[in-house]
Amino acid sequence: MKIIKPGIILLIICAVAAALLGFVNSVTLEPIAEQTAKKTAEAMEAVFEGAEFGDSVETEISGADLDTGDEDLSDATITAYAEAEIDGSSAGYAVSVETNGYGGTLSMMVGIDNDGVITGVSVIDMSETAGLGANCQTEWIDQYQGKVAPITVSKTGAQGDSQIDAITSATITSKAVTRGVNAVYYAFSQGQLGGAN
Amino acid sequence: MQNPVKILKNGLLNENPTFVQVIGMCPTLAVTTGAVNAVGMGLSVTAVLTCSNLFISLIRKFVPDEIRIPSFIVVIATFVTIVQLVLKAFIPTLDSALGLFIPLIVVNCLILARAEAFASKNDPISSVFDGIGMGLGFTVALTCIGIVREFLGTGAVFGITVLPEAFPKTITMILPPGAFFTLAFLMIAVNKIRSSRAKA
Amino acid sequence: MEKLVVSSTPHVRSNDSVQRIMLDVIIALAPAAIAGIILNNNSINAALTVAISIVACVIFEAGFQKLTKQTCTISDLSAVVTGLLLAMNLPETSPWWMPIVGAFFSIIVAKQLFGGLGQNFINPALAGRAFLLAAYPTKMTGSAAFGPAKFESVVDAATYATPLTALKESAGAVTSSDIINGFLGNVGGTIGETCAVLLILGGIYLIVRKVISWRIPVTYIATVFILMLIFGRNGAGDFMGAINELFVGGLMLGAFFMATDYASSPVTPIGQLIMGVGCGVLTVIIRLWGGYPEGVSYSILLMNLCVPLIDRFTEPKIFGEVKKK
Repeated sequence: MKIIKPGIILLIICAVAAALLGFVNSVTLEPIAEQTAKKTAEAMEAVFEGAEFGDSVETEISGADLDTGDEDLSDATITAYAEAEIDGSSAGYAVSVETNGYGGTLSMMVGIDNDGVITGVSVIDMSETAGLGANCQTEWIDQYQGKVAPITVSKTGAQGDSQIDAITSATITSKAVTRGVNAVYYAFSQGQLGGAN
Repeated sequence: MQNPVKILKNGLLNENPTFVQVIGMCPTLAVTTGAVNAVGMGLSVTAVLTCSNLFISLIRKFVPDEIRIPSFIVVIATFVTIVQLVLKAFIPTLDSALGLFIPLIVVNCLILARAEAFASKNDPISSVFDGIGMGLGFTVALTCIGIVREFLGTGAVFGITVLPEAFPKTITMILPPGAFFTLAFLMIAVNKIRSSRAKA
Repeated sequence: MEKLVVSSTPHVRSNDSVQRIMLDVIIALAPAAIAGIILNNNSINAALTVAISIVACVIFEAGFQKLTKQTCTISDLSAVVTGLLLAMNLPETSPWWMPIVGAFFSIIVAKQLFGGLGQNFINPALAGRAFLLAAYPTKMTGSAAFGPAKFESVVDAATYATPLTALKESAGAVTSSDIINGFLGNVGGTIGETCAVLLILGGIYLIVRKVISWRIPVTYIATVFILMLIFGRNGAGDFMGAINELFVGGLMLGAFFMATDYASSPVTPIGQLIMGVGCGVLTVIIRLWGGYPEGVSYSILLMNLCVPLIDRFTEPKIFGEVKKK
């Protein structure tokens, strides 16, 4: 009896807690799903203006498996992509890709059109140093728009269609973002994204 | 029932969880990079603390001593999960800013300490006031730290830029060391005030 | 040289006071500091940085002691030394407020809050530098923050990278002219760290005057040299490269003037050797494999934290003491 009584009381408490949680979960389930979908949709919209997107396809393409020339992209992993359509015809892709930044995983969304031109990049999640690497979430990221991959990072002033300026004192972050963009380009040009080319 | 005003004042000032008891340091140091995050964290803790205090006080006579701690943890974890789900659903920006520290409220010693020290020995209404007082004391402390760090580190307060662009931004203050420095200096100030009041 | 006095015990050898020691340190530092200012591309701002830093340190020290009703000790010159060392660790392009923030951190946080002179557990000037480096990284480092000395312009305009930053980016073969430039101070760097020859002379002066012991600087520099010879950027056995590592960056300034700070270095001879080796190992690790180009300041700060432990383990046995079982 000494064991059973506390056990039953604990069981009752747990049962009440579970019921309460079940109720809250059922109420919040839909808003949470909506928020997640909205976040992805907004990121896609940001990197590929004016496009409609097909279903997101989960994948796992490592930069190490791509033919990337001399560049080492082994830390880049493409996790998902969605086909972008403008006026009903295929225009390119919005691709989720992850690389290793200075402070951990950097995950971003990269838009690439059918000619291999980058239409935009948006950093979704990162843990870079505040005030330095974290500046990759500012307007700095806009300079990728219209660039032709593979892109290199310049510290002395970017020139041409394939260079971007590094974030001051945060070259590691700048290069990590660029590696992600380049991995997307190589995956695209080698036909790894659905039926591209 | 104890005097509610006295209980509230106790949590806000005399036994302020952060500056006087120095408990719940993990979220205090981690999420105070900005005033908004600090308020969000503080209010989340206040909500959990008030609810858990109320329920623990209600069930205090039915719960045998042996299963006291597991029962408290179940109650606390339930409310933390509720807060997390609600934040995820309705304030997703705050949820992503606070991240892991929301589920970690479960192990915030402030909450279990109040459950043990107060709610399990007092009536529900006093316990609710204790939860509110302690929670608000925690919120006020976090907000002070958050304002100082955000102001010095980014030149803004509550996300609104107040300093001109040319003003130097002391990045250290929004990095982890800044939390320790700010906490230390605020504690100096609070202790100074307390000791001069004690003398008076 | 003072006359050698022979007398019976007890020998009271020294009439050192804090003020006398600090004055010696200032005398030893002054040539390198003056060279750093005069040979600089931006002499005026370099001189201002030094002046502001010293004045700010003294004012913060006096102000804090006034506020806490302590005896004012600014006449012992320790705040002046801290200010001078701090300024020598700053780039000459420092905005005027940066030495003030650094002085606040050095004097108030690192020194006075822990009890003032002799109680600080880390070198105050380095603590100030570390704080500034974390707080204003773009103003403390980066290609824009440094200029070479002006007596012979060997570096191209536009990118005055410090030699260590350049080495980190791409390690090339080191020539004898690189070494001579580093030795004379014709390289980029903070105000006081460039002119290696004057820093070495200043260090020797302090050793001769018995203000500091040879143990920390010599083991520190030797450790860096040996490890660089073994693990060098261009593979093992790169003699020129290893020599070059000694003269670029803050090694000479750190080894002679900052790792030897009384309050934050071990008191036992063996402890001092351990301190020197430890600083050397950490410096090489940071320079070769770390995220920063230069590791002198962080390695000294890290070793500062180990000092109580080092002292405890190297405590000499008292005569007649039986080992505890």
